[in-house]
Amino acid sequence: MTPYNKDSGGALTAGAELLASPRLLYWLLGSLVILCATGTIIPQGESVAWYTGRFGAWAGLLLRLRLTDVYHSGPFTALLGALGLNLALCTWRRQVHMRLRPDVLLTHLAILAVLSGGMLSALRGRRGSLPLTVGQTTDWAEGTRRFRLPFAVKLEDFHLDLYDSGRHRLTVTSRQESWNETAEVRPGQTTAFHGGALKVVALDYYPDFALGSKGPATRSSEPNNPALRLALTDAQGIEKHWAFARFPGFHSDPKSRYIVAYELIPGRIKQFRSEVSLIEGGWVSTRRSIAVNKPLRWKGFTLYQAGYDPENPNYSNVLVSHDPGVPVVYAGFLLLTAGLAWTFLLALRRPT
Amino acid sequence: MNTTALNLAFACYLAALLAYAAAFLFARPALRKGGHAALAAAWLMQAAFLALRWHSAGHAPLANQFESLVSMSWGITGLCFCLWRLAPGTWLGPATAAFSLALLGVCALLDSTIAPLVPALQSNWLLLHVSVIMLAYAALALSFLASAVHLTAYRGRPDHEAAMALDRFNTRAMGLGYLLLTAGIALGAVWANEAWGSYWSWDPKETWSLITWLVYTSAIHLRRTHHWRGQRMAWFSVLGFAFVLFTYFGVNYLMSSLHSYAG
Repeated sequence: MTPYNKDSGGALTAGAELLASPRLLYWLLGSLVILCATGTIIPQGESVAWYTGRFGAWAGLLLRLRLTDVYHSGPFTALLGALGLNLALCTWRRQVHMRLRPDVLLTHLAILAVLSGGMLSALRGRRGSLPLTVGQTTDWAEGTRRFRLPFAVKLEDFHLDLYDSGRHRLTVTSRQESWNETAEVRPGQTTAFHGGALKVVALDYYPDFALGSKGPATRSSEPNNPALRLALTDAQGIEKHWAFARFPGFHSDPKSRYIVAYELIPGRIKQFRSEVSLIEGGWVSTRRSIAVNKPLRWKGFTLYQAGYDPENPNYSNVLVSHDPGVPVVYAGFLLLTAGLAWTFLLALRRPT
Repeated sequence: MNTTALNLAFACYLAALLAYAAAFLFARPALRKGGHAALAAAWLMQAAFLALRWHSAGHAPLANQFESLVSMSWGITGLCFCLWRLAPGTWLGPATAAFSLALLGVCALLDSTIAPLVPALQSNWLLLHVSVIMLAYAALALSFLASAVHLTAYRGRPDHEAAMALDRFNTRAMGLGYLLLTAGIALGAVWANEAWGSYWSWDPKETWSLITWLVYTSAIHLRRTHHWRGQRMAWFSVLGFAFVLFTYFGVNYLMSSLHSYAG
């Protein structure tokens, strides 16, 4: 068996020979597999207190070995660097072979491009978040490294679109007969409880209940203070109830035959988007909408819709990123796929 | 949604398997043609089911594990026909029928409800990324099946013509799977950069995809530089597919991931 068919042209020292060897490649790949897997088993980036609580006496060892932040640790970076070096030297040493197999050369160069792009991202990339409420403007991005943007971002508006307005779950407890039952109700419809002995009609739904000059009203369509007006009918007659999702027991009558607890199960989120203005030199340069999968690119920075606060409908978390490594990584991916496709097509034509 | 087409596909896979078994047990090679026909019918039924589901849901049927598993099983059968010419002997049809039957059996245990897409999945990248990854898994599954046949039927007979042909098939299926896995990971990285603002976040699904890629990288280099062939490569293919299964199933159930909606 010929273990490795090296070209005679490469004049390398013994150390470089080792660095260029396939054997080292397997060790590096194996080590990367182990470290990568470790990083998915041990939760990453938590606080010291969290690790102490979870792992007890082992926490110190995990922290010392940087197994709590594997992917940014020295050994992991060194392994990636060694992999790049091994690949570069191996490609150079087999230059005669590579001339005959440009597909393999392309594949190796592409992997080096991806590694270089990743390094560029790590060294020169900047990421931070812009926690904004409607009307607020900022040009500072918060993150591990706080940095200033060459433009200011103003949140003009924020929209949370839902597929449905949510589901209304009622738990009714009978004071006289000591039973309780839970069911979902719909505004305007009748729901039977306790085998039909009690019929509940959800008369009105107020997503954001408030008492106005003309009585109960809703301030907005956002479920900030959900309330239901109910009619409970049993053999003894009709009882009217108010049920508040955020204030259980509020407005309940101790003489009532029933206790009603109301839970609003939020609607499923369709999309959330921020209307932002980008301000330069005191002037609005552009006004755009940012949504998940629809980022905004401006002067080398990209703004992403990252999050929202279910408790505050005016809050939006916008992520900002400046990453010069992205085009290099993308070029690497493209060349890598092209190189492997070329190799596959060649393999189909020749016997293995 | 109506699952009649999927149930019919299941029945066709079962019929194909029975036809292949009968052809083998009663030494009636003509029955194999019946198996091929049933396998083709199963693929068509699955295609019909996926098309109807796509129409009903309004998005590609790749948004959860049920849909992706049906697509993967459909991909395995489709690739089986594409690579038919390269496959030696008579094992490919029965192995594909049995494996796809098992996958559809697993599908029956999963939630098949059509749910509206979460914001992160509302993108054309869903179709591109997930379909390429599922095709990659399908090709690697065929590589695994060839290896399983090699290790069971031709163990200790490395010079047998069929064993060598299975080895060649394994190499090609693995090469195709590796190419598609690479493209799928790259497409996923581009999508992640559009949706989450970073092409790589060391999310468990991403990380295990990379691990799987590293394992197959080792396999391809061991074959090329150390001339690993036959049973050794077959064992490596089985090992590689174990990583595929963990990435596909294990991560969804055992780890918290940005890809949790895929579970």
